[in-house]
Amino acid sequence: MKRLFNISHSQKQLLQETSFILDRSVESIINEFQDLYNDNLNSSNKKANTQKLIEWVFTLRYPEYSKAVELFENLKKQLSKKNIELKYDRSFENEDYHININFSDIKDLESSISVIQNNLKDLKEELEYIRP
Amino acid sequence: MIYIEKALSEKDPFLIKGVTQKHELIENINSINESCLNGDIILKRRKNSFIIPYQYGHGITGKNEYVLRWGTGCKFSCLYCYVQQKINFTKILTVFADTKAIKEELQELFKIKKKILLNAGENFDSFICEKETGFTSRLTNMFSDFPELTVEYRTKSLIPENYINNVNSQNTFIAISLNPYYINKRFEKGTSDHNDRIQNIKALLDKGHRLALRIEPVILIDDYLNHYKKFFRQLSAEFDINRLESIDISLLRLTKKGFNFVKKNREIMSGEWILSTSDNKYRYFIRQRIIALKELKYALSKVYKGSIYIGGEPKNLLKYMI
Repeated sequence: MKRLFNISHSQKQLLQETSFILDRSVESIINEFQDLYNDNLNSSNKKANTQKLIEWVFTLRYPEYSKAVELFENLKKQLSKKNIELKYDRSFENEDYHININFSDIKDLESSISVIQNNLKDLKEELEYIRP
Repeated sequence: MIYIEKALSEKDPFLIKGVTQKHELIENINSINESCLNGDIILKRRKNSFIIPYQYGHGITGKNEYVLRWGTGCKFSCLYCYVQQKINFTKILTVFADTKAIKEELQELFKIKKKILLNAGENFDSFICEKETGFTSRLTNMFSDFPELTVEYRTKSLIPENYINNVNSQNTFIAISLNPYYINKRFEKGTSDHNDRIQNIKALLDKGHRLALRIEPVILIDDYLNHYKKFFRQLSAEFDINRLESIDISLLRLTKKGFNFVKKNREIMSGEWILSTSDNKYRYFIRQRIIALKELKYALSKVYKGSIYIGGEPKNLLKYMI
């Protein structure tokens, strides 16, 4: 375990909290992660391994919330390819979403609008997931 | 023991008539605090105002009511309670038993308001010391002078027989704060027995008292829906639930301090608690809240045809409740 990860204090807190909530030992959680992702772990990159571990533990602790974040982050990534910036409240408490479009000419703008339109269905599903 | 500020008893000679326990008049009432024991009650005047507008928190909906601050302290030990987390919290009860001052404040408020909804149980259980002091009865009598006033009492206590049988009020109603048996036993230590409270509701309804129910705080433990469904069926079997004026449902929400307080409780912590950016309180993730509230409202509507309100939530959530 020590060879693969370099866990900070706050990351340890998340692990311990998850262990407490799920009534499982920290060791069994880490073992499960290693069993699942063994092929993707690299002993020379503890930082990346730890990041993966913590992201995975977060999905155990907050399954529904992390799914909502994942959906939005995927959409954000898609849009950013066309210089479109999606902003949202990470707690999802505020229905306050922003889209910024950077464009150089009308053609560029039309292309961005088209990307947004193509993603509207996904966005609708994501919003319905958060507020069913 | 009940300690009564001498100046207050002189201002209101009838105050002592309602007191049913051993009592002592004290000249300098503030000197008594340190020698008081849990369960003691202090009756004294209030230095600052009794009535303030309700502070809902940014974006949170409410009923535009005012709050009557007429007491401090609580003898219960509800695990989630924000009052207990305050630095100066005590189990010694202090009642600011000055009906004349409250009446004066109401008179002033009615100069600018036509109708007032007054919450007289927001930060002090309205019946927690009624048996010992009779002060809630005195308040109810005083409130009857204001026909345009509606007062909400809120309580986790048993209403004493004396109040049930002898008080008759048109402009006050008692909101009984009640949770399913399991939640009550696990998280609301020291409150009156769950089944006794249901019998208490029956007795109050039989005597024609106006009642409402506050199902709060709803705690999303495993299998919560079955606990609440069973609870709704129990209420419906025990009395005519449709005689309740309204039922409010509010989910548990926690201040940062309160969150740390319950961190060691697996059942409470098992929800997906998210720090809200709007009011800096921990709440269940909004998806979980909407699903839970819809399910609870639907289950309740099977047995109750009156008004069901959702409390403590932002407007942007309420539109998903329809």
